[in-house]
Amino acid sequence: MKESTATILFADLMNSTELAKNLSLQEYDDMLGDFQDTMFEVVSHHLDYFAYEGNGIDSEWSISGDELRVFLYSENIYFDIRNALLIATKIKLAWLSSNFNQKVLSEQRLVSRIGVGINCGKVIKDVRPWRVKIGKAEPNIEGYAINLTKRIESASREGNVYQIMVGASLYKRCQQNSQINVTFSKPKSLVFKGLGQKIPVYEVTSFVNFEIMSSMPVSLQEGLLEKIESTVRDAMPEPWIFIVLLRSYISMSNLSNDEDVDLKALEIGQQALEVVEYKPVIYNILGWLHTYGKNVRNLEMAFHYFDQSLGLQPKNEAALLNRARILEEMGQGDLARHAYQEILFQNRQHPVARRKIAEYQSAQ
Amino acid sequence: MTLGELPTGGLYIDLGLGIVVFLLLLYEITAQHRTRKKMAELEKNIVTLQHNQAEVFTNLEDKANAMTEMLFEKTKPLASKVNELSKRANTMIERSEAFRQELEDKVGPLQAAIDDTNAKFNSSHDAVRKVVQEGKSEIERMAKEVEGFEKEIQQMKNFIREGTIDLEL
Repeated sequence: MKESTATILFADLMNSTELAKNLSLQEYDDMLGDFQDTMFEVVSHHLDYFAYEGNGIDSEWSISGDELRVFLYSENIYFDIRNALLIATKIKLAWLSSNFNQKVLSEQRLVSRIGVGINCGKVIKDVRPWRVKIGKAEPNIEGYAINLTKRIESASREGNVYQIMVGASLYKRCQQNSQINVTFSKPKSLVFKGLGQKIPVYEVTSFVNFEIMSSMPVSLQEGLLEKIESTVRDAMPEPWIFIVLLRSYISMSNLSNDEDVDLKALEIGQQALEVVEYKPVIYNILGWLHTYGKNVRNLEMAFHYFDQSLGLQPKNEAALLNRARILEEMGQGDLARHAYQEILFQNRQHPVARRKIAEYQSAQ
Repeated sequence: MTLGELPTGGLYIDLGLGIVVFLLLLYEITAQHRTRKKMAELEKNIVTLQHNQAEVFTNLEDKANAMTEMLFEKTKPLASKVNELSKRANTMIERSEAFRQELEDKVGPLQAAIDDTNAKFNSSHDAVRKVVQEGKSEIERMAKEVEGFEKEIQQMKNFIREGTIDLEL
């Protein structure tokens, strides 16, 4: 028996039983085929792209019916959590732009969604003798964490932002590591069948990562941006799409000098403020565009957006840092110094704030 | 039989025939006379022509002789000059032949040495070319590697930059 800490991801099609009732057998089979193909493309490409060896060495995954299971145990838990969040967002993005959902969208019906549950915990990796007898010698993953994650996933229907739910174990680890730029909702205490006590569940409210679009499989990249753009023009766009799309625009703006990208990003950003519940990230994106966007630079506007972000979340480190930089660029030395000190109050180890304060002190 | 002896019954016919014969004789005589006269004129003309022709030939011969004489007179100094030049050319040919022979005697060993050096040079040149070629391939391979490395560094820079942006949003 070998014990290890794994990050577990469960994903399935929401309301698939109801769909099965309303669709013909052929239509249901088409949907399931499309779902499984999409999951296969995304997960196999992602694990390969991020150098997971698979075969039970550091990961394993399977698709069964309308359910996807992914186990990551590379011995770097933060790496696994980050990848689980990436996989979760990527499968949601790929399913939204799948043939099945594009057809649904063209008929102006509600799209089929994927609910995701992620958690970390101790698991047992063991090669059972019966598996060897049937020619499957790779270890089996078992443990309470798997059962719990399955139940967390079932709570995703109650979510209203990403519909990616996580358990307390994963939540705590993300709080310890600011490199995974993810934020969560307040916990919901839910009672799950067979567990006998209330379990806190958190919903992902923003996950900012440039790799979501850029590391999608090549076969799914063609026309992806256009599909996602058309989705946000929909009457009821899902909030998480705005964050993915805006982050993608920032990458494009960063790598090119296209004025249209900046303008489009500002327009979608304004739209996102009306749709997205967790607004600090949108304010920060708008502030970033006005600070670094080559064609829409306006430091007063940028300052205003970062200020709005801090109004909602006074400890938002990204907004504090950007505000300090803007003050510095505006020639407001004292205010900038004060802003950097404010960052150090939150995080004494912040490398940029420490360096800046040291510079101010040596200049005196 | 004469006209007087012709039978009386055919007197007029005979007379007519006699006149015709007479007229024919007269015409013949006249024609003969005219012909002789024409022939005499022709002969005279022929003689004149022959005379003229002889005269022309004589003139032509004279002219040709005069021309030959004149040409001879004119080419006489040239011929001596040509002879002189020809002699000089021969002398020069003889001299250059001697010089060539002398040079060949001197250059022979030198040529062998040059050939030898040339062969050695070609061999070294081939060796150097081979080394240069190999070096060139190696440099090209290294340049490609550097280029790939540069791209990788650029990708890493972008990755770091994008990662930093993530944390600033």
